[in-house]
Amino acid sequence: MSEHQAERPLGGPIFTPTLFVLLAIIFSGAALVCYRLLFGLGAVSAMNDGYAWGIWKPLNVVTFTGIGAGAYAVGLLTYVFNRWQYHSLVRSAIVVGAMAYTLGGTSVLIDLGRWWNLWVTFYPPLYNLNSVLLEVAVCVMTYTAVLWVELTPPILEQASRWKYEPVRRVAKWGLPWVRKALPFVISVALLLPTMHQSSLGGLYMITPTKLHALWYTPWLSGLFLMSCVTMGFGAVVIVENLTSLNYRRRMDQRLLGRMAPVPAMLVLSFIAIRLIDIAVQGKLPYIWTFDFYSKLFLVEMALFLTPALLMLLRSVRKNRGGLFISGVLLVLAGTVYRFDTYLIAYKPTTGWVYFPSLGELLFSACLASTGIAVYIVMIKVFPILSGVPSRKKPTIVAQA
Amino acid sequence: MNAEYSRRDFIKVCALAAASVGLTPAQGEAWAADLEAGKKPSIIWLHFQECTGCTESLLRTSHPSVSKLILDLVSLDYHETLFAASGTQIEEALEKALLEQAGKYVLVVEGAIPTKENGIYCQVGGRTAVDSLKRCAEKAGAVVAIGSCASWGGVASAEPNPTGAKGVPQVLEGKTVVTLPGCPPNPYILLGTVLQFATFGTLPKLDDQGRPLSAYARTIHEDCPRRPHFDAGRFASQFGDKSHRLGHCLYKLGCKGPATHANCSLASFCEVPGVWPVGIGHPCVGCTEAAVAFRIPVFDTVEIENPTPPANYPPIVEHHGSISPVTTGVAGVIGGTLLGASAVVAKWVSREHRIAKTWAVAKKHEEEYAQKKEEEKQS
Repeated sequence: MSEHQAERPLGGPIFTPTLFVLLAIIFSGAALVCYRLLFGLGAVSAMNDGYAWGIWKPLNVVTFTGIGAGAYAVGLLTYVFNRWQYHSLVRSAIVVGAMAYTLGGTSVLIDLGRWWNLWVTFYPPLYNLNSVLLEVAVCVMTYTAVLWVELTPPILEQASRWKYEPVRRVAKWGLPWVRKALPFVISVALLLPTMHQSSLGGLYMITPTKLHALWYTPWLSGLFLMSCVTMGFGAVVIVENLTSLNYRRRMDQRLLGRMAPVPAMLVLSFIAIRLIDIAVQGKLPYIWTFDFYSKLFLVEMALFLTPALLMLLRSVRKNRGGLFISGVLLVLAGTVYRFDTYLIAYKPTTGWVYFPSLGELLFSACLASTGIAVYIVMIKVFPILSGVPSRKKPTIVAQA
Repeated sequence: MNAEYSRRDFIKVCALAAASVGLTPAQGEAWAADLEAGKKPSIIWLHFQECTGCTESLLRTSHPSVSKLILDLVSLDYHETLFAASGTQIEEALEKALLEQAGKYVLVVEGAIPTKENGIYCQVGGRTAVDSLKRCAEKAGAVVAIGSCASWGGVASAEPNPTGAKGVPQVLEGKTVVTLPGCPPNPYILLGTVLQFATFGTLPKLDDQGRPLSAYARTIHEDCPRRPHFDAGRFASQFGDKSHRLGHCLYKLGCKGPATHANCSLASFCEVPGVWPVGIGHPCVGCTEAAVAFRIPVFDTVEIENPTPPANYPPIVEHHGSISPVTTGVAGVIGGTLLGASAVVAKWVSREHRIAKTWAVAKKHEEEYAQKKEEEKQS
């Protein structure tokens, strides 16, 4: 972990028009949250006893943390498979992950019916050890904390260049310690998502009668774990492209291109496992009934297959636009898979319908905006991104 | 202990009895311990104008051997129905108990007391009901009136009340009488009351009519298994009609549940679930209420105190969700914008890529050209 100097803060003004737009969405979302806390969930959401999770979990938790799983995906590649060349992608992915998990956790807490009992979540003697959700709750809480701990090196690095002497001294004193502890933190950070991302699928093991046959499988845990990794890779590609487009930083297309076969192969094995499992369970006829669910399944499969095949093509991997589209499709496929399992292919009993209310849409938009806003501020203030042109040599311009 | 029932059964009955007067199972176990040590509460049971239904229900508890158990839990020192002896022999037993257990025994009274013409309508051993009640109550540790007759007169006091029948509290004015109205009441309420007095020397908390609050504080209507039908407006209007067969609310058939304080809807009678009037499809007749039973005709309806369900009851009609065109539109716009933005960004990055490539090619050409010129110069 000695090559950290590759990352630099972007600098530049923090309060840009983009940030003001995001802040507007965040504040209206915050007002909505106050209203919800005072007048109950029913006042802002369209959730009902049939669809008790609405989009609060499928979108705000499962999809957002899937996008945030870039930290997990790149971390696995860099640290577990020892491909150190991908290290330049790690910090940015961790910031995305930390924000995604923080916001997912926030969503769950605001979704709590009796939110005033929230303190119990942080008080282990009152835990219900028989609860499946407890694993998810504790794991996600711990992982969120771990992700932020993983972000202390860039924060301390920046602080050691701060203009105030005491801050500098503390940062310089702390930095070696944090770096020493980091391997252990990272190992925990790679263990925890393996647990809870699979649990997020495992939760639906209790719905054999409610989840459509094409989605219900004993492999739910594994499928969710695999698709979270592919979503994470997709998100990394998207974020890399957007930051390079927006902030004129150098992006290493070859690095991303070299990484691309990993999610591609993962997606292909995901599809293989699903199809084989469906075949083994004798559920193949469901695929060609061509009713709503069969069409949904086919669309979902196409969404998975397209980016996988695209990413296997050399020409696409070399082309920034092509790889970007593949990344978007990867995230979209994972999202659709999550929505299908949690909402669309899930039927509690007859008669229940659900579509998010405006309030719920606003809340999700507020969460997403918070994530984007914090990410933008973080990359401007702290050394997160690599390939940022050095601002210390403005003389280049003069020479030219 | 008798071998016919297990210790588990024994503790269970004590706990049930404790629960029916609002005590904890731990206190039930304390009774069990006392009883095993042989400290049985002494009971003197007087019968007046009644049908013996209360005694019968006590003996017909369905739990295995429970009638036997009840007789083991208490020391019945005088009971005209259950004693094998009769005549002088049984009256001697009464005299003996009155003397030996003075101040400690529990006097249980079953039946109304006729007061007209000096109470001549009910006499045992040459004593009128009024006399023997007053005499036994004098040295009793506690007086319990079991059944509606003893509590407030019951069926014997129905108009025109030819014998001037009255309840125990009306005869023993000024004395604390625990009344357990019901026709008959759940035997566990009596058992709990007697055992609490025997073990702790206290009586359950009573309401203004002397009824233990633990059993009589709430109306049947509040906890009725048919209550959801009431709240949803589903009523049987005739015996045997479709609603009646579907188990809907019996209010329109004259159910007195909304005006009757008792725990019938919560505590199964003699432990058999559903064996109470409302459970088998008959409206409640309000047997525990002096103002209702034998006063208001069985099929007349009563006023309802709280017609709307309390806020903490689950709703009857569940909202199954709805989809608004506005939100679907907004969600579509958001999704479309994200997809469109992705396409635009893809186009932009592709263009950047092409430009960078072109620049790289141009730079290469330039370098090659410069190199060529250099070579030419040199040559």
